[in-house]
Amino acid sequence: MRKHHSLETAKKLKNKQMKKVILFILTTLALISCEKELDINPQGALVESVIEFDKKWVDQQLISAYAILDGNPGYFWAPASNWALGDVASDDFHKGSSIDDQPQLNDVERFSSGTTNIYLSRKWESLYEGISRTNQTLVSIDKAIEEGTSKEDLVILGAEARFLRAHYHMDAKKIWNNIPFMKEGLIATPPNDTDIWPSIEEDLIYASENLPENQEDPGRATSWVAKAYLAKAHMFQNDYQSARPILDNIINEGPFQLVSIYHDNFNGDKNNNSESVFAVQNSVNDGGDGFINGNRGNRLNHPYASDAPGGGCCGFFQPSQNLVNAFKTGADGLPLLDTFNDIDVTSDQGITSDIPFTPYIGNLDPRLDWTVGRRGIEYLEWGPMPGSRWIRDQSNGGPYVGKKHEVLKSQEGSISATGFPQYNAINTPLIRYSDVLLWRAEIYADDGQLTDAMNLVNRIRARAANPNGFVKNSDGTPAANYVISEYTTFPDKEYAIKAVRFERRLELASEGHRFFDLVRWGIAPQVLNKYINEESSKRVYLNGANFTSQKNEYYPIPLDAINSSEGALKQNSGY
Amino acid sequence: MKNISFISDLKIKAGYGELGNESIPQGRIFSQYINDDDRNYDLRGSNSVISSGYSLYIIGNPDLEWETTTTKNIGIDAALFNNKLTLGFEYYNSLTENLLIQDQADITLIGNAQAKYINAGSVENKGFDFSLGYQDQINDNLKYYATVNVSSYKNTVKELSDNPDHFLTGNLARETRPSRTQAGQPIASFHGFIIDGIIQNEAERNATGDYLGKDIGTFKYRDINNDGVINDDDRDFIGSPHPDFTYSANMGLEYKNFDFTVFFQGSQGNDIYNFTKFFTDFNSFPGGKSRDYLNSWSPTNTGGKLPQLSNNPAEHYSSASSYYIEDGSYLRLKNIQLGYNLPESVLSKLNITKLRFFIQAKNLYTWTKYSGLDPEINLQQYGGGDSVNLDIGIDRGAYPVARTFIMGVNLTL
Repeated sequence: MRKHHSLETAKKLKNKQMKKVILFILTTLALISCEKELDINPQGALVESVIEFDKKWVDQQLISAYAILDGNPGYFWAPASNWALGDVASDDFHKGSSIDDQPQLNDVERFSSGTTNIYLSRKWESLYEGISRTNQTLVSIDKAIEEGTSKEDLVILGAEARFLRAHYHMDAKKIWNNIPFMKEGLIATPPNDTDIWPSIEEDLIYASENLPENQEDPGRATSWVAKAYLAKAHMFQNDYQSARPILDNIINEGPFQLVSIYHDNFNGDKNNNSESVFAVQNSVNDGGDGFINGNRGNRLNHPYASDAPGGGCCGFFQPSQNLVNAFKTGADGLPLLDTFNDIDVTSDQGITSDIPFTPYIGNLDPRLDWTVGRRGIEYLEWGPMPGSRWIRDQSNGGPYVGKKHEVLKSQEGSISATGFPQYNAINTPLIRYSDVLLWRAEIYADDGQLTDAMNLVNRIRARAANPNGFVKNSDGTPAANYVISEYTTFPDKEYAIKAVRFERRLELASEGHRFFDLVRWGIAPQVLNKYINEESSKRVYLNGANFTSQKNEYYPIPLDAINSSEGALKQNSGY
Repeated sequence: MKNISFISDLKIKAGYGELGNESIPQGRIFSQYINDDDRNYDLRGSNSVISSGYSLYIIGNPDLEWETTTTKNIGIDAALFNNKLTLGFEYYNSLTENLLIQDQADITLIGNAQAKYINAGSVENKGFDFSLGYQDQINDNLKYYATVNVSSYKNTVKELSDNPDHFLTGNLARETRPSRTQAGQPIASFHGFIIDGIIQNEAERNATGDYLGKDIGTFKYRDINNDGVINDDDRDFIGSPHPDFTYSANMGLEYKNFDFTVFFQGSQGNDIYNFTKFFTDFNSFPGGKSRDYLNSWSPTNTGGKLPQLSNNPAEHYSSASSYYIEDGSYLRLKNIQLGYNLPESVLSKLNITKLRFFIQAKNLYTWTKYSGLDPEINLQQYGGGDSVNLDIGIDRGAYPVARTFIMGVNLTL
């Protein structure tokens, strides 16, 4: 009876809507006087005319510009970490999960993303929303000055806004290359036919010159952060000459230091440590729903079991065998730069959790087990990873799960959101100090300063080799056969470049850099097609995938952006 | 006229009128800022305390005006043969100017904020409404009546802005926006790729424009601009949600103590964008699939309706296309009822005024070729009130009307 009633209501509603439309179309005859009833004050929002433009307002606008660093409300389609476009599209990670869930991500992994792919449209919208908020902040600054706030009081806030504007543009630049630079005060989208690196650099130079060296709030940008971004901008243009002095300045005079324990970079209780150059400040249990400001970008990327962090949703973002193999070391404790993928690290692929399995006994870099969850290895206090029982579909996604974005079991409810364990407050690293050191090492290698390059790589490796920082079994012994040592020589330039790049992969895996690094180095087609060729024997869905040179380096510009730009935006070539 | 005996009543009418309309959400002349969790941020790195932020949420337009619809109509109403035959006809032509509409949201310019409302261009509707009725009684025991209504309109967007290529899109259907409103077309027309079947052989493959995954067994997309490549430039208008005409028929019969009524309703010539096929016919979402999956193309089933099954579908498979367009015409038996009144003789014994038993069926049967759950969605709009009329006739899984059987008693004491 009740059901019948609700059906009737639904039908009435529908009829009402129909009538409304019909009314609109078949407008009846009448003459109605035109009072200005359009200007009724809206409820629940601040109307521009009542806003007092002062420093507080400017800061609140700026906070909203920081707030979308996490990609909200683009959700997991626009993750701050770029796990989808930067890692799944690389040789490091698979989509994971089951073949039919989030098929748009299969397209990302197979380099067949279309112009309506939601991982692209949401990312675009989220980045340009961020840019819009930075521009709102800059416009508010002008209004605040007009209304009497002193210019000096607003310099830092303005520099932060310009820093953030550069950050968002740079992320978009890496993804699409041909993008418009949106300045404050624009009333239409300009064409995307000019290289916007100079505009990004301009913002970063301004920020680095006008921001203080220290900020009370660790979430805010400092001049050092802006400098690191400026160096990154140069690195992405392969402009080593410009990057070199900035990196030297950061390394010699900046406040950053490597932390002694590698995993402290991914521990929610160690957020904003000395190695964190710039990170998204995730928070949980912070009022309201208590999870919106948690790491939403990774909310699907948890093991597929209720006794794992994340509460069982949804098995995405699984490391590749190729990545795991890269962590093998030789008897000398060094990576196998050329042969690492010849023999696989043994895995429990095809072995159910109730059948015994002995983990790989060969030499491994200890960072593997902070990056990848694999069967039999202690998983962040949740016990030894039980294998396929934690995997949604092992035959699809493989035997591994991610790890850097997961909480320790003892942090449940403090670092993860109470009731919503998919969301946690581990910061999303955007630039770490090791990132900075490895850029400098790249330049040294390119300059032929092989010892200097090696020394920087060795600083990274020495930290990784700290036995206090190894994953441990419950009895305190190392969880696997960790053998890692420093390089003793970089015999030639080619070797140096290879070793630096390899180190970067090991150190920064799953932090969203890999695909963009491969493109920046100009080796994406070779590396990725080789990878697909080798990995497709295990991940059959990769069969037939192909990275097309001069096309797949950049993603297609979302159709929504092109459609709505009044013809200003042109599609990238090849799409 | 007075002497023409078969005319009971005759009215010829003509009219002209202007109607203003401002039915858009309130407050749209103002830009509005809000605070919510998407604008809050843990600047202090506390893991659990947020700082409050504000940003633009609605973009206002202080220059908004009413839209004005000017309607001209001419018609005739007549009752003939002692009011047995009634006839009505009206032709109208209305032009809506200063159309109040939400502007296309340029996501690059405004991000997630809601686009402003604007007064844009003009839209024309012209059409007619026709009705014909007949009622009579053959004798004291047998009475009957029948009426038929037919309506038709033609909608055309005359102008949207100074730029003839300017268009507005409707709401998202997952990743695509199948509706497009552009000058020269009916409002909310469907827009997408045109599919000319499935590539059957080597020659057809070579003759089809290139797209990723193109192969024998995949869709044959039409290369609109003939450049040998299938991409977004090859989309076109692929259908209209507006019917050629709608109609209804109402009939009644009374025989002694029995009464019988029947009501039909129908729509002819409108397209439906059956978006539910996105979920059921393609590998674009986990969940149940349609039986058409079994009729996928294969070398042994070259007449298959769907492309060859693959975990890695070819490019554009999830784009808006003519695959989703279906004829939405239908005729529906909306209501049928049979009643019986107890005769006076019995009523007086029971000391009641009236007792009627009836059986009724609503939506008993629908004649349609539409494959979705219910074709009666042709003018349904989706989402909030923010894209009024720009998104019509898309079946995103509309809740179907129920077939209802009722047995009842009317008792008057």
